[in-house]
Amino acid sequence: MYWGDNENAAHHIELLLLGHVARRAQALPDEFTRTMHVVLHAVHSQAGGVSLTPEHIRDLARIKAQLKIYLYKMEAEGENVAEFSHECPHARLIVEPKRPSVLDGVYERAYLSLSSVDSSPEEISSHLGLEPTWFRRRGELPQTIPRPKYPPVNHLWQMDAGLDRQQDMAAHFDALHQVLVEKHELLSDFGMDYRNSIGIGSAACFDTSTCITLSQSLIERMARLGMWFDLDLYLC
Amino acid sequence: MLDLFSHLKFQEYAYLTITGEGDAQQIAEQYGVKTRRMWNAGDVEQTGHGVITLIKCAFMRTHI
Repeated sequence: MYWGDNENAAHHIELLLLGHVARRAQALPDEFTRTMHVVLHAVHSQAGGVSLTPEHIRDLARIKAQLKIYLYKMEAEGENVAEFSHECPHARLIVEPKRPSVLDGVYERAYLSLSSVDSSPEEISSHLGLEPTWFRRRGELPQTIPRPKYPPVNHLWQMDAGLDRQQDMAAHFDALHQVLVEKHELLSDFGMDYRNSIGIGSAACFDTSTCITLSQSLIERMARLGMWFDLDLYLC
Repeated sequence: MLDLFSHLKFQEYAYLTITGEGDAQQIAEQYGVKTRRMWNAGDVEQTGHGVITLIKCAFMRTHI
């Protein structure tokens, strides 16, 4: 059995990291490249993502792995998956999605995302001494189309590093990292879980596929933060 | 062959690869890596756009 029907990518990552090969990979000389590949499919949507726990990130760092996340758009039932998806589990190597580059229109960013039922965006800002890039209040329906049926049940506060989105992910993370280190103790007051995490987003102006690569050195710095990471890819 | 895996069409999945110079089988045996699939440089065919080409690399892939 290759993959369970009801499991998500994070579960597969966890099993791999706990498994035999991950243990062996740790002992391999550094000249070998370890890569964790995560394959997502957007069905009738333009987006896909995966949330990784601090333990996932720490274990990836332990085996000195880089992380590659792929998103393929699936238009409808019956479409030929082999045309633009991984050939896994076929016995050939993977087909790479179009390589992201600024010239192709790939926009990346890293941001801190905090959620609270009780603390308003103003109170979160005051506590951290930081101003949000974007926020949403509990109970206020966003002006998006289509509008959600129900108002949000919590406040949402987000801050990115303020860089141009055409800069690559490493630059975004570097800029945000300094703030995260300085505010680490204050951030822990919010309780770090999937609702309070570092968001990593990549939007690509491609029709059918995109990918994002987080290097080994970036994974190591992510691991030292001990936070959840929410990784999202978008096609536009 | 595609039909055999059609139920996996919309799945999320993950796998781990190890790449490096040398013979994949020898590397797997030397370091005690039990893997279901492995390739050596030259095993990879150009089957379309964007296929990874491995030069002087052994390639091992494993998944659950």
